[in-house]
Amino acid sequence: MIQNFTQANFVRCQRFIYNYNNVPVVMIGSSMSAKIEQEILPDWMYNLSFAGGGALTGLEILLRSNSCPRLVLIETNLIDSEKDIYLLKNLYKPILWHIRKKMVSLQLEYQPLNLLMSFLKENIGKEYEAEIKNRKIDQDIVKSMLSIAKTRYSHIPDMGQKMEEIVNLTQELKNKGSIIVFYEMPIHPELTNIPRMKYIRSTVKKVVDENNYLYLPLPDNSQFETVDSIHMTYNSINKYLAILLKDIERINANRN
Amino acid sequence: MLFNSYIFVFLVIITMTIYYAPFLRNYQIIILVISSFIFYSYGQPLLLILLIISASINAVISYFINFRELNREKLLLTTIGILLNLLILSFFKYSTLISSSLKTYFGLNNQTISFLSRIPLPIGISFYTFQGISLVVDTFRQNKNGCYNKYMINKNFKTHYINTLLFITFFPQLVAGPIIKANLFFPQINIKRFSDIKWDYALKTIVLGYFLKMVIADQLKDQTYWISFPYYQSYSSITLCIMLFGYSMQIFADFAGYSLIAIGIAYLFGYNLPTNFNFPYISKSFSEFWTRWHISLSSWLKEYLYIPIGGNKKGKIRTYINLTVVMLLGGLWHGASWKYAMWGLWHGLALAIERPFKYRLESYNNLLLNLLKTVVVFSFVTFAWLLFKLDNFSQALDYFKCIFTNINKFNNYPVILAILFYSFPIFIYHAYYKIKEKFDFKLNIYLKAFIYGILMFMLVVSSGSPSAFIYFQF
Repeated sequence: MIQNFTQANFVRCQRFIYNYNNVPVVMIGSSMSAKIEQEILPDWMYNLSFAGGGALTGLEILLRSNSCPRLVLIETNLIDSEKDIYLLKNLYKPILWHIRKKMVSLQLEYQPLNLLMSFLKENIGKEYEAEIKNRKIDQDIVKSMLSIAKTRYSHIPDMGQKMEEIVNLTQELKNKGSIIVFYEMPIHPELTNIPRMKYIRSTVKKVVDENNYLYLPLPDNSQFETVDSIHMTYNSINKYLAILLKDIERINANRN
Repeated sequence: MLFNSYIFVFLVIITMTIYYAPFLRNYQIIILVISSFIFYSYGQPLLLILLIISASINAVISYFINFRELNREKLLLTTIGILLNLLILSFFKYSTLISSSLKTYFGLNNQTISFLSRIPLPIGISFYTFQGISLVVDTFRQNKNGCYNKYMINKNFKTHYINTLLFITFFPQLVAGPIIKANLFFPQINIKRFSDIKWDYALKTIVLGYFLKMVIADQLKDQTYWISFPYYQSYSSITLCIMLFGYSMQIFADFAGYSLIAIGIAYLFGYNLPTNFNFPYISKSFSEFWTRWHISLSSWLKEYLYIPIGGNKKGKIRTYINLTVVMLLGGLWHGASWKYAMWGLWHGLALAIERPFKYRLESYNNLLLNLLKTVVVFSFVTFAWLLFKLDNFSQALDYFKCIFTNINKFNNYPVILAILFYSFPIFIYHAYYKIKEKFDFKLNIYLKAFIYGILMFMLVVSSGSPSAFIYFQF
């Protein structure tokens, strides 16, 4: 059992590095995309998104793992997130990351305490999981978080250097044969066209045009619900995933 | 350089190897000083200059105080020494607070304010500045009651300078204590032998310290993350209470763990550092709490601030004022933010209010009342920790309000379970101490070895995601 989001991040990355680095389709993004759980994804797709994560960290992991997915889906909502150097340092500790390949018990999800917590969760946590997924949205929380998000994301981010780095990393993947696809996760409709989002969209579109990448059409955010104006509810995640999978099918069909 | 990093372990091993080499025995102090410089400059290379300047100022001033005959000259030098230390501390630590307060409350915003807000905060400045003040004051006092006497300041300035460098920069305690007083450290400066190391004590202290930090504190930190604004608003009363309890455990495990590591490693080099935590959460009064929590700080504040401003010798009202002022300043010492001042004030008022009733409360000595007293003190202290975790006092009040209003909100069982799980060893740790104290109970040597073996195993396989020590920010 994953005890907290920090562990969840680590485990996602370690699972990818040690078991899933040959998967044809990989998603990279932040906590928004991370809500799409691996259990609801098809076998040929891996979600390398995590809380605090973003394009830079995910791309770095792909390259360090010598992974060459057919499709790399990059979330744009928080594309300006800093590279998580701390996470990368801990994932790729010089000798330990090799040892972890052979000694599975040193991988985070197999730590004794996590296994014990899993056992406890199996016995008392099932009802809780169902409760989480069917939880009614607290509109007061959504309103309060929406107001905070509007303030927090009101500024135009400085993306010059970061976009340059993203382009360099994606070019490396493209040279290995990957198709780079940018997408935007649905958020609260009132946040869709704030200056920050418009700026990010225009910057990414420029990169897409210059480098012959792909950009998935922006979803109609009014058809989705969020728990806090940014992260979707479980029902909305499923709805969005259906749309995303259709887009992926279309891209594969066009390429074939 | 974090204590829980490979590079630090490497530094300790290399330093010990060179330090105890027989042909380098005469250079032991220099070796430790160089290692301390490497340790400090790993994180902030430029600010090593400030550390050296601070140590040099204290070395020069203490030297001249010691060899001056006239009391008024000693007093003048002592005053200059204290002021210089406080000036350095104020400039580097409180400039952002001053600039942000000028901006917020007076609407001032010019180049000076902007410059002040960009001053970097040197790691450990609060600790090494206090040690510098301790050296200057102890030299002035020439306290003969403790181990200190005037022959501890070496007549040879070069030797004294190097000893002072070691005292100020000694790497196990440089960035987060324990704060050691000059009169306790200087008498220990001499040649150390490998055969004198008490490995049993040192290694057990280090293992326990790393366990508290890496297994308990680092795991708890990921659960108490949700105490931040505005996330806590969506959780139930029970979840909020448990998270706050968890944070209380986390801060103890983090800081006590660090102190134990520092003490254990210092011991490997032959130096005794003072105990910094003595099972604080069993305290039955606020005054007792401050004899058990961050003992080196409270002891420093008592000796160098509380007693000089009058202590409890100037009447009742003055005692209450002194207590409050000392704790308020002690709070500000923790951080350049008004919330820390509030925290200090909170504790100061508790001490002041408790004082008139202290002896009567102590006379009520049955199990139930003692338990009640412990719970009250623990609850009060735990609530005050919110000021460390949240950004300001109004968020702390909001959190407190949510504890009463969020009864029907969402219970986060995984968080609750994880917090209770990781807090349990701390409860056992405190319970063991009480049982040992009451029944003069000693664990069987093989059982002790088994327990330490488990702790080491957990360190290897169940550490949380690494993070800096909470007190590094001070």
